[in-house]
Amino acid sequence: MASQEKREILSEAELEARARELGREVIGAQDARRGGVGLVAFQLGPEWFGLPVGHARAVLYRPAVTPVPGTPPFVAGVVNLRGEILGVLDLAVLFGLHRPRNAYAFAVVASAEGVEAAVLAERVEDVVWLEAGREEPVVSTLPPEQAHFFEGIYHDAGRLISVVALPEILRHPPLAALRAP
Amino acid sequence: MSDGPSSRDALVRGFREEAREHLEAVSRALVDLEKRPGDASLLEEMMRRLHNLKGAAKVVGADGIAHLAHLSESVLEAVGGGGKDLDPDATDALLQAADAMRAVAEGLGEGRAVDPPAALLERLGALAGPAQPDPGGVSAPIDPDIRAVLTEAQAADLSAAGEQGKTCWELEFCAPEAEFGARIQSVHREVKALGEVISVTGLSPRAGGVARLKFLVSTQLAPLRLEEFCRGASMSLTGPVSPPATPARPAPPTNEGEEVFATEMAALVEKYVAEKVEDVENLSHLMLALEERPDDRPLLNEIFRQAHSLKGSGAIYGFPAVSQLSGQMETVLDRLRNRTLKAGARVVDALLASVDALQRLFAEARQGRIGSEAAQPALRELAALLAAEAPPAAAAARAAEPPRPPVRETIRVRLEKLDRLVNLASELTIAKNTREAAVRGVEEEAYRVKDLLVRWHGVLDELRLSGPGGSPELREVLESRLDPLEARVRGLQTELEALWERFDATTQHATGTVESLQAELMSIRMVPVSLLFDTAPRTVRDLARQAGKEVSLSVSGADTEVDRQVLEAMADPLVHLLRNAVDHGLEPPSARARAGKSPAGRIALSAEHAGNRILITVSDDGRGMDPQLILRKAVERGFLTATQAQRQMPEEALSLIFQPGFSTRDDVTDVSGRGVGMDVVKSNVEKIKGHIEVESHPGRGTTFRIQLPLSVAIVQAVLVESAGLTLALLAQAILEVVRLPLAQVETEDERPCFQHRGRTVPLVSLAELLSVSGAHPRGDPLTVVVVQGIEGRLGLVVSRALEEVELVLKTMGSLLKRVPHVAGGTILADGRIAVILDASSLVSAAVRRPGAWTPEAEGQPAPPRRSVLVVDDSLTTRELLKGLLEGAGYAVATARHGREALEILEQRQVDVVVTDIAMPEMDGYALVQAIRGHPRLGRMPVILVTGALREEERLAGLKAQADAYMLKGSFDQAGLLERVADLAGRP
Repeated sequence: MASQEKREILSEAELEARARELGREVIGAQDARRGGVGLVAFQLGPEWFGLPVGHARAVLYRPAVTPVPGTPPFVAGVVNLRGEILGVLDLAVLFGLHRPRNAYAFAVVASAEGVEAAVLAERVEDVVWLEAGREEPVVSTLPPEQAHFFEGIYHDAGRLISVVALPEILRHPPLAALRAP
Repeated sequence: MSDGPSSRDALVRGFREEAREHLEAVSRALVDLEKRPGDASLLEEMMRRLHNLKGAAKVVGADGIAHLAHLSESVLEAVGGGGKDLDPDATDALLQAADAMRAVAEGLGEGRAVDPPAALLERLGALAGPAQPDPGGVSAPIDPDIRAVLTEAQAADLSAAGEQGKTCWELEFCAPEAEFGARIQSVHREVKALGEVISVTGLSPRAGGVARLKFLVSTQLAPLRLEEFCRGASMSLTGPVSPPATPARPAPPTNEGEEVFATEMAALVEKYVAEKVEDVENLSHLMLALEERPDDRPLLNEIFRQAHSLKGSGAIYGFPAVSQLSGQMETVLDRLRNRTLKAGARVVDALLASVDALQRLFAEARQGRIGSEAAQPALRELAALLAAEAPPAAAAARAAEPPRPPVRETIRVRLEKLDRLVNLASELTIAKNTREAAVRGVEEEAYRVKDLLVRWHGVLDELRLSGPGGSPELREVLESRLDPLEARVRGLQTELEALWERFDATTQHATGTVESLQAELMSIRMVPVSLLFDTAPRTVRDLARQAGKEVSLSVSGADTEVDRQVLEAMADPLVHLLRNAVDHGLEPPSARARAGKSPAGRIALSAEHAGNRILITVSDDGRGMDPQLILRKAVERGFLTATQAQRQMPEEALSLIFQPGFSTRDDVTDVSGRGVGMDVVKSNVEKIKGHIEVESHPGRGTTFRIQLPLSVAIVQAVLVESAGLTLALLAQAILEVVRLPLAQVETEDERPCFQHRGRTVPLVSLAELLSVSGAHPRGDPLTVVVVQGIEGRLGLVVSRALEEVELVLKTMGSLLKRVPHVAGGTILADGRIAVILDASSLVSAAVRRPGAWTPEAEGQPAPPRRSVLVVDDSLTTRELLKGLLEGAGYAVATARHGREALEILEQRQVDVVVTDIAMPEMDGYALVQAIRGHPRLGRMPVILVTGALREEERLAGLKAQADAYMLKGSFDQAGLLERVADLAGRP
């Protein structure tokens, strides 16, 4: 009981903080929207990633992830999304980053090519609008076998946002094997 | 005809649209006529529109418009009919009339009654001259929409009608599309009773979804009689109409005309086809019954009625082939009725072939094709039949007035919509469970506050009793400050308890509602097995005729209900089993006669509920299967070695027929083929989590029993814990869950194993098999789930086996469609997900990859704690006993009354029950009785505890078969602990 109450209070506080953040973002994003690129920006460790808005469906707060045996390590498990079961990806594992010490606070529900998945995140900023055509090629610091997981990298207010190529990730053989007929 | 308010509204809306259109056209024509005086086509158009408007106005009760339209018509007749031009004065009056009619129509649409100005009526009346009878004897021109599709033959009918002293009328039927389909047949029937229907034309629907159909009828009935009919049937009457002056166009190629028709009524046709597919299916059953009972008059009448109705509706909805074919069937059926034809096999064959053709026609219609080829063979066959037999002496009697079709009280809902509802209801259930936990939380808090007060009193008493050593002043000060505080805490406690009571009551209400909601939703998906069984007589009959055998089929339990998806998945396996029974199971009549059996083989098909599953049985009284023969074939075909075959039990031998590629018949028939089928049947059944078994006695027949879940969405599973995960194992493959003392673990080929019912079964840790890191199962005894797979048996060691449950099987989502060993997932009562594993596939995995896990390698076994369930309506007593028993090392669960106790007993492992007697909902005696009557809990030790010391209570307690009876009066803690230890074992 006690833990659940605590969770409620926390969620309110966090939601408020997030709402303020979002408000700032939306106001700032207005100008960029003309001909811009919309990204749902999310944070894994120190790094920022972006999912094109076209792929994003919803953001889950404190997803309760149930592990699924027999899946690769970057499949975190499944969550209950309004009575339906949805697979969850831990991109930190796929990208070789450190996983957070605590449970992930968010998951972004995204879909591409008829496949729906939730992507875990430590922080989420809803939509960041960036000027189109300003992306830079994927920098060479990434291991070459991971480069194809990204569409490009944007500079945004002093930070780098790597745009995740969701369809490419879903085509990654260990993942594709989990839905092979 | 009484229409509901909504259909009336739709009619009025439709009428307003129509009136606007007519009046606009009339006004335009009036203005044009001034420019082109004497243009007959303009006059004709105005006359026609006013006439139609008058009819429609009468239907909706807009008498003002009807009156104005009638007068306007008369004015036009008086002026134009006499070959004179309209003078500006008359044009003025007519334009005013059009405006007035528009005003009335708009008023009607808004629910206002607008009367036409009396002066205008008078002026029109004066212009019209002497009053005209309504409707007049003058013919109105025929509706151009009808004329456009009128064939030469129909035009000839129209002209002939006049010569026969009949008049022709247009009857327009309009109704909201939703009810159009349901009413059109009866309307058509009624119209046909009036006279001869020359044509039926679908008109483009009016705004607001009002569909229209126009009948062109020639009749001898008086106009008044027709008007009366139309008013009663919500139809509008136009006429009499005259044959078109311009020659009708030649009969169009059928398809073109039909195409026009089909586009106009596409939506209606779709609905119609869906309905008729079912009717035709039904017709096929009736035909089969007819073959058995050729003299059954009511049956024949019913078939005749259906064919007749198909003939009519086929024509209306634009399926000429359907109409033609059912017309022919009708003729044949009529001959059967007046006994100029006998319902022999050939006739029934031809009729069944016609039904099949009808089905094909409707199937084509569903794909948007309207053809007639499918009907040709059946038409030829029917024609041949009719030609062969003598024509009837008397003209065919008309069909008796058929009853009106029953009102449909069902709707079609997409399954996914239903699934979403079920999902939402499950979410409610989770909310309900959370709320129940919250109620218990409030209850606990209330108890803690009470406890706090007790301790408070203790402290105060100590202060008061601190004696002469204490300072009286200090005590006074303390008391004066503490007493008000105490009162406030006491008030708080009372409020908390009141809150809890309210919370508890509403939660119980919500719980009940959510549970019934879910049950109702599940029941929506259920359909009777008859949907499947109804096709069996036809299948069996056809197969029997092909095989040259006689078969009588008996069907029972057709009203047993099961989930639609289960039923659909069973369609193919069932046909296959029936084929096998007819083709292989039953002997030819001669062989049966030699065996002393009746020449007709018997096949029985039945369905029944067996617990929460459904049992479908297909049995025959044929030659049966010989286990020895099967074993010999199995060895010949390399399925078994000779030694293996010798060791097989007869029932195991029979199950060999489910092996892919196994067949004991060398001949190939066009019915069953060779060596295919039974393995497909088995895999189909298993796909929907069912189970099939076979029993056979040589010479006496074979029985297949198929057990199916009531719903594909609901599966039986055993919940287990392994490496900290809650997993569900599908129950189909699970033989049992055993507690295995470590001492009984053996080793074979360096792998752990144990003896299970005379076999050596390997032991594998589930966590290791799934490569889940975490604590390995430990303890003594081990909890072992014994699983049967294709490769053999396997003991899965888990940390805990929780319970066998029914789960709603859900897919794991598009990302994780096919994870090895995972059958799906389910959402548990608390909202968490449990992964559902296919236990039998784990056996294969274990065979491929023997694990390194050995039970001996585990640390010190931790024996499971004994657990006690305390049942008492008093929170204080519950907490007291709980503290006492927990202190002694027991795991304790509590319940507030008997019913709650039973729920807990269903869900968790309990070693002994300690219960109060007087409790709400279900008292202690009833609880004991319920436990004793329970198949699994029957021998559960129960200790009855009560405050009263009455002899009859003690007797009642013993009568209820309690194991011990203790009095609260003489309640001693040590005594209770001793009884618990006696009955449940030491903690």
